[in-house]
Amino acid sequence: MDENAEKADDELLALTAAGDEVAFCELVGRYQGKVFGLAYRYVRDRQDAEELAQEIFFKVWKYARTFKGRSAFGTWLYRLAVNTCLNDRQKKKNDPEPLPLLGDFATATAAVGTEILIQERRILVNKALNALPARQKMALILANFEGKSYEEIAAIMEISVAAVETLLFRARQNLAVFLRPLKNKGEL
Amino acid sequence: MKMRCKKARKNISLAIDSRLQPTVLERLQAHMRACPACRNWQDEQFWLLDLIKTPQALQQPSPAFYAVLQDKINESQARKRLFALYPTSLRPAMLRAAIFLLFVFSALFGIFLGGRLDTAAPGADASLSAFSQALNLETFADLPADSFGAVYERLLQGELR
Repeated sequence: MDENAEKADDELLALTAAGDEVAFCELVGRYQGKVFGLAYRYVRDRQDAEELAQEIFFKVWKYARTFKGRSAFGTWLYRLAVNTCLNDRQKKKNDPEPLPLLGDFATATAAVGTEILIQERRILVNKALNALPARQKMALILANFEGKSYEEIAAIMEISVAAVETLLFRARQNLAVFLRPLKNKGEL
Repeated sequence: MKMRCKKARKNISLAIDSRLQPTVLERLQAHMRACPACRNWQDEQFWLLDLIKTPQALQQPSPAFYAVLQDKINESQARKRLFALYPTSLRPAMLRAAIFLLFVFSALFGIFLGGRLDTAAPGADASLSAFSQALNLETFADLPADSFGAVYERLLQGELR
């Protein structure tokens, strides 16, 4: 049996910091689903999410030695992931609108009516989510899909619990503003 | 005390995440019983949560995920090794040497360029000098005697000292 499989995350990270690729591989194996899931929910595009997740793990490798153990490894990893996602959005702010439509239409044309409707619905929801301010969107993802408590979100995003409450309320309010007209028009 | 709609909606947001104190929850429920707009807002929030759910199948990266990551790491390590050839302690000295060479080459280029453009220097282009002279004389020939140009012409010919 692989001896790394029994090691705690902190130990694996310490080995990673010393250049142990096997330990790093074990760490990636443990968290790639979670990190990819977070990135996917954030960018809502498979290709972009995979690139983002790779960038996050690359940073884990690069900054492993900066982990001082003041917070749990999970919090540290989430903080790294959240900051990478937020910075990525900042970098892409001036880029033209991504084109998820290409792949979606290719699938849609091959699919039957309901499938097309699902695709269209997904595109509209993605647009509404992408229109949210980055930090509101991230707080919403962490609270509703990553199952993080407000205290954990506060630690990950390095803000107060009250700020988390405000971010979540505003995110929900904005999302309703974006999607309500579409619902009323029967598009959702 | 009655709860206002804005406060009630903030509390709905907290209630969705089970963050509301029982006493506040009771007051919220009382408000909701009397306020259809806030009831709609709550229903809308549950509908939105359902709408933005991500399909489970899309939550795993491709099988090549680790291989691509490994390539990235190897590439960065190779770059790091290349930089390691130049020890950090030598970097300021190398920077100073680069700045010094830049100054030397700028000075040499300046001297070379100056030599090329100095028409008074020995061996300078004679035709250029002749052209300047002809141009001066022709330019000032038709000017009135008391004009600045005519005075300048006399200066050129050595009449004024």
